[in-house]
Amino acid sequence: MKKVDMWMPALLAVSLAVLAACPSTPPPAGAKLPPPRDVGDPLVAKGRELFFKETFGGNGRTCGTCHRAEHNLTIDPAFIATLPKDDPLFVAEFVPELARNFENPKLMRELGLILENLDGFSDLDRKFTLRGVPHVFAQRVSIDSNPQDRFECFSATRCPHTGWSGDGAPGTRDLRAFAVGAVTQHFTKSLNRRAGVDFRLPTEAELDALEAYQLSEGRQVELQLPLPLKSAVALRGQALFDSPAKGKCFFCHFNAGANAAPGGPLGEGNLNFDTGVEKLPDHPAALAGTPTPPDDGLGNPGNGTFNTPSLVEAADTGPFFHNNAVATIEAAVDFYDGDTFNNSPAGQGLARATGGPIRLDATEVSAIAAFLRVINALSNINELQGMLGAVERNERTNGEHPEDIVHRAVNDIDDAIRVLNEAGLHPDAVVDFREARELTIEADRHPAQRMDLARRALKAVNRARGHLSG
Amino acid sequence: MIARNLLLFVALSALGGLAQAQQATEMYIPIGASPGVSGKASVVGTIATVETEGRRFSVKVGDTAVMVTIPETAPVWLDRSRGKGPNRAGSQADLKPGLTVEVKSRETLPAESITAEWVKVAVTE
Repeated sequence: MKKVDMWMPALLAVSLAVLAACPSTPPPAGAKLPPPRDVGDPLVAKGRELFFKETFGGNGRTCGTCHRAEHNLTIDPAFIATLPKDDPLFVAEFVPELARNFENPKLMRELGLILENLDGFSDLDRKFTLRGVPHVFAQRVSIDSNPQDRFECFSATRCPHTGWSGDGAPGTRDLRAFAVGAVTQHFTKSLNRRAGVDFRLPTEAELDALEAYQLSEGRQVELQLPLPLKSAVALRGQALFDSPAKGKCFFCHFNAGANAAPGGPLGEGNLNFDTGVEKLPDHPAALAGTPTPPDDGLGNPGNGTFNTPSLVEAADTGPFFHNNAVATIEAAVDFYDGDTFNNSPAGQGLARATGGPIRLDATEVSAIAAFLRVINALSNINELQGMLGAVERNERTNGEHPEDIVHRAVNDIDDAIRVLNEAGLHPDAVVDFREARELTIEADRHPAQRMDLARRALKAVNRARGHLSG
Repeated sequence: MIARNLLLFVALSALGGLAQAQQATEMYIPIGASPGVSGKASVVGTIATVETEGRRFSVKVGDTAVMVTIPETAPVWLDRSRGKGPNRAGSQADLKPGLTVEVKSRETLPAESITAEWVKVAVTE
């Protein structure tokens, strides 16, 4: 029996039950994104330059201030601690006009949280949310942006989901509009937010370029599970992940991505759910003595739902959930075994449809997390193959010079080593990653030998891949 | 197939009352400058008449007039960008004949009468 046939009845039941419990927005049927562009495409290169260098006449921040090229297009407290005090991330600490109600510097530094006025700017003291910075990899397969048919996006049921609650963008709500909202929210010189004075709005051409670049980052296609993984623990984790009786993860994260399983009544899109994360006890912000207003999720007023993120890139892009509630991938998996999730609208709907709540023992939580760690490392390898391949050929990628690509490659190798080491996974692959790291650093130090060293590093990376998956 | 269609119907029906996506930053975008929206899903023109009762006003767009209904949930924003002032939240009372206005339509355009998702009105004070 085909895999889809086996779980289809359960999927249909779950979809109905979950739908009744927590409203979700379906994707636009037949949504079309702009076609993938070649890595040498000038529009993508322009978008990359804008993303990391353009301040739009504002306070000095760029998109890359929070979505760091050298840190998986995100930030976390450990990374934030390495930044100089005059980094634009900290403008609220040194620009008097932004000292109040622009950021919460304490929670930014301690928890990596960024202030957002998603429900309006009418009461800055009390109306705000504090959210983690999501990476922006794999946008092409993680949102339902439909920029070629923008009018369709104006109806409530046919919109792309951007941002943690899926409603992070004004207007068309696609990635182009998201940039306008982000500039207005985060780039302004003052809380007056005067376009043309405190910042300038991106031009149409700049929005096209920014969108093209963002769609080019990371995975361009979904994984096809099951993968022939070589770790018995990760293999078990994959089985639990895809089990309609145990992990049940695939219902919302089909192929470990950001989309619901196909064949269900909601289509194959990126959905919102109320999983109860906001009700977790002992949120780190509260423990730090700085409780924050409740985050009501999608809409104004919110309906309590948040957008489903991709899990392929999760293990090295924590902390996890919209409010950075937990720091490790194991804790994130364990959330779904807890009372908070199982008493939530999404958890209750899932339980009714599948005969009970999600119950996982510690070994099963570890196995699912191991699976997520291994596919994260495989994702790192895919990125490294592109990066080191470009360096070996002495080519630019999306306008990025090989010298800069080498730096990012070292970061990706470090990530792969970290996500495996933290759980004691694949020490054999880690040895190869370490060799690749040394060779890549040498490639940085010796430009004349860069191409040959990149070729050797790529070989080591490919050996590591052979340890992880058949 | 029947079951699937039924489920799809239920799903789409349930979505009717969903809140719209947040519009917070839209308030700060000057009239006519909202990418992908201005001129495509909105009308930009001059207020011709304002009904003293009800929540309706008409907008002159070139040679045509568009009747606008403002639901209670639709925000009215004051666009003060011409005077380099900060945009602010306003109300229906700020809508006066002769002022430049942009109305995001909930209906497909062009149309003779529309329902506003939001309204921006240019003021100078």
